[in-house]
Parts: sequence; C-alpha cells; structure tokens
Amino acid sequence: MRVIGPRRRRVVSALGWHPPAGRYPRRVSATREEIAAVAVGGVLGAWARAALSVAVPHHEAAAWPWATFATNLLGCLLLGVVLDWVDNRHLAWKSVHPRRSRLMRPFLASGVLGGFTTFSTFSVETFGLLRAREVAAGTAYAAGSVLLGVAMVVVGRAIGAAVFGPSPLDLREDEDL
Amino acid sequence: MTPQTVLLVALGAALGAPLRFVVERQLASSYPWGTWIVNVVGSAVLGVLAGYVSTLADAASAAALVALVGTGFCGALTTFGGFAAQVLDLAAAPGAAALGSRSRRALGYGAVSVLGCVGVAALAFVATASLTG
Repeated sequence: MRVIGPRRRRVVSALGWHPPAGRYPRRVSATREEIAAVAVGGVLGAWARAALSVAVPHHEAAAWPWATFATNLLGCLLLGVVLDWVDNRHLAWKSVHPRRSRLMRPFLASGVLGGFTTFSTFSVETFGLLRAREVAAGTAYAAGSVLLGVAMVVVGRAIGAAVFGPSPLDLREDEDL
Repeated sequence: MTPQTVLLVALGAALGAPLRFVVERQLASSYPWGTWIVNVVGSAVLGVLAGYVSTLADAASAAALVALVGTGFCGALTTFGGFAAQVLDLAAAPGAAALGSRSRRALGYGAVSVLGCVGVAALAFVATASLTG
C-alpha cells in the first residue's frame, strides 16, 4: 500500500527527509530486548547531559539556560542524522544484521538521544525565567528551543541524506517512473 | 560529578527512558499522545521537585534528589528530540489531509506540548513550594 504519493515523497526527499513508508505507527508491545536497549542508551544519554550541565552551570533562574539549550539543539541535530540513517539504511542493513538492526532505533533514537534531550528541565527553566520576570527571555527560550530544535532535525536529516545517500525506498520509486 | 551523582543519574535514567518507550509504544497512533503524556508528567514531577528543593535546607540531600529524580528520571522520561521529530512527522503525516491541515496539526502539537508542560511545571512548583515552605 502506498500511502505517501510519489510527488510528495520527491518533494520531502529533496529536503533530505524520508517519511516512513508505513501507514501510521502501529501499536506494538515493546520486547524485553528493546526495553534493555532503551535503558542502556538512556543512561548514556543522561550521563552526557549531566556532564554538560556540570560543565556549564545554571544557578540563577533569571539567566539563559545555556546547558539545556545546547543539549536539546545538539540532540535534535544528532537525532535527525540517526533517524535518516535508520529510515534509509534499515532495509539494506536488516538483511545483514537482523537482530542488531532491529534494536538500533530503540537504542540510538529512543535511548541515547531521548535520554540526552529533555523536556522537563526545559519546562521548569522556562517557568523560572517567567517567574524571575524575564518574560522576553522566557518566551525567546521556549520559542527558540522549539523552532531551532525542529530546524536542527531537518538539518540532521539533510546531513544524513548527504552522507548516507538516497534511501532504498527512493531508488525503488525511481525505477517506477 | 561525584561517583554518587553518576550512579543516581544512571538509576533514574534506567527507569525513565524505558518507561517513556513503553508508554509511546502503548499509545502509538497518528498523534503522538504517548510522548505528550510523558513530557507533561515529567515536567510536573520536576516542578514538584524544584518546588520542594527550593525549601530544603540540607544541600547534600537536595543534590542527591536532583540527580536521581531530576537529571536522571525526569530528564530521561521526557524528550525534546522526539518531540521535535514528531512535529516534523505530523507536518508530513500520511493520509489525505491537506497541507494546511497538517501544518495546523504540527503547530498545534508544538503549542499544546510547550504550554501544557510549562503550565503543569509552574502549577506543580507553586503548589509544592507553598505546601512545604
């Protein structure tokens, strides 16, 4: 079943972005292996985030939260690269390493980068800025994190597309044309 | 970081990250409700923690709590990268929806996430600080 039409797929692929070919995400219960992969990845990501927050301390609520800001934007960039790699390379890699390839998305995307980036600290810091009457900074922090974060995922996907080449799905589509 | 902090962050994250994964899988649909819920719950818990810690006199136990519950559990339970990727996925969602409708869905998800999480964190902080302070 083709859900995304070839024209739309070409347009978004030109941006280096390959939407999944399936319909909607299916409700699949998580396996024990996947949960373990997410846990290990999450610990690694959280350690990296904690190390960054120690290196760039944030004591004053009225100050710009540089550590979380940088963490989330860097995480979004890397997530774009990872998602592009998983989307594009999954089919080719699956035949070589079926077990490992199945755990790659849970480990890298949900685990490492899900654990590295954080929404809760972002929320509390935004509230902290607003509470310290830094309304302009609070609004800029919230809007800037979201807009730049989304932009970073796009950039990451574009980097992934440039480095990893076209998706096997796109190649199959070109043969149709 | 002290070895104790490293261990507490790892403990919290080893619980938070898999919990997010399981909730996301259970609530998988055309709209990322699973991620929205873990982000809101994580923001509420961190709001409670921040409100409680702000009234705590003992600095050592405050640091340990923040490492375990804040940096570890809430940090790994919530995700900013997944949120940003989903805003994009909604904008390009499969189905017959027109581009305008998809953009509205994506913008709506972004707004509902940010307002919901910041609002819940604010309520949790103020309520906890006034109860314990």
